[in-house]
Amino acid sequence: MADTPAQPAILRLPVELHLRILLDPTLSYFDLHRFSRVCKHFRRLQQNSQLDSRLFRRGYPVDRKRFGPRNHPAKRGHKVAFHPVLNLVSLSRPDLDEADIACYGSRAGRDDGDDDDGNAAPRYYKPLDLPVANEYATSPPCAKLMFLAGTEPVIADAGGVRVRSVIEVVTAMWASPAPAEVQIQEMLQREGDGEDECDWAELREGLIEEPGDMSMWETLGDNTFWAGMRRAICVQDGVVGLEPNPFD
Amino acid sequence: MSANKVKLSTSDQEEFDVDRDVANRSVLIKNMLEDLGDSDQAIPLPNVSANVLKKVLEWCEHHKKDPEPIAEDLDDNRRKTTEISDWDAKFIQVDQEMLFEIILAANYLDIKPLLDVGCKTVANMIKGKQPEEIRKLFNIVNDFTPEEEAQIKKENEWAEDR
Repeated sequence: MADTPAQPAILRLPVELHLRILLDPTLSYFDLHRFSRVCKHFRRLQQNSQLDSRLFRRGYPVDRKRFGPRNHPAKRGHKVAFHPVLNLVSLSRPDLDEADIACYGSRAGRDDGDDDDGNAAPRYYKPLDLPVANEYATSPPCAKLMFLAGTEPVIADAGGVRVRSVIEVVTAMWASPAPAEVQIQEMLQREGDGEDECDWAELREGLIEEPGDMSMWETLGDNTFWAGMRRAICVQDGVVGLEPNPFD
Repeated sequence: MSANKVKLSTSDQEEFDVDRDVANRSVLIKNMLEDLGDSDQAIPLPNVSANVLKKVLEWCEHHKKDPEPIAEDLDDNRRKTTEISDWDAKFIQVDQEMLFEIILAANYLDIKPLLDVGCKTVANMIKGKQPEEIRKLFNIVNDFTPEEEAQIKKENEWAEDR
């Protein structure tokens, strides 16, 4: 049998031991996805339901209620993890068409788009066009995501709040006019930062004449759209409260 | 045989005389000894070969004074907080053939802390690696069709370098 290559040692492990390895808490969402691209066997392993909560996955069909967030909700006081894609989304304008994931890594651009120095040009991906948009926004899934700073927006989905709804609703939130007091606070902060190009008197005048010119997004600065939203608590069973914090 | 010694017999018919407190690191052997009472009979371990058992016993010897493994319901917590100790890291520096044999043996013999060391070592080997690097490391053939691979790549490209 000299012609038959020996089976790789790792493939001799039974499924339960492969899962034990994959459930290691140091392996990230991204590690598990890369692992699934190695071969068909690893892909099937990664699709095992034991990894659903680590992968924010649609493992709880809405029509099978006993598996749904309604019956297995985020528990009050428990830690809630956010889908890592939310941290990667950036908005160049508060517009859904502008919600992008930028990849700057050398591998992302290796096929084309390299500049003269061999550096990869960034690539942009539209999260709403990808399967990741259908994954749960939180782990464990929650039926309602609310912002603690105000009453809006509240994102509710009895079948579990998805990444898609969060991107849509948060983008709309950033597009909405900032409250007058937030605009004044932002302007004071800019003045405090000593930005030369900021004509304070003109801005103040503009604000008084046309309140509501400044959108929430303009208070974002250089941050991504998810900036400052990592602080999350489960305020009651199934409900996750977020504190938007654009002024840090 | 002395009450402090246990005889173990491997899949390749080798016999090992082992201190009882070393052998007791294995929950499987411990339970068997409790069931058997005092006996001179060798305990058969048909799933473990001599070279692997030798290595496993080396681990058991070093860890014979460790506290009893904690209950399974606390298992996940322990795995979260436990890093591989320096001694264990050096112990597990073996070729892949032996690494996976140790994992299989630790599972069969029910030695949870050794199983954790083995699994964590493999997890560390996977961490941060691209699919092609994982294939090379473990000598795995890519059996996706070009169409399947293109589809998977399209869906996952955004996450490639994270």
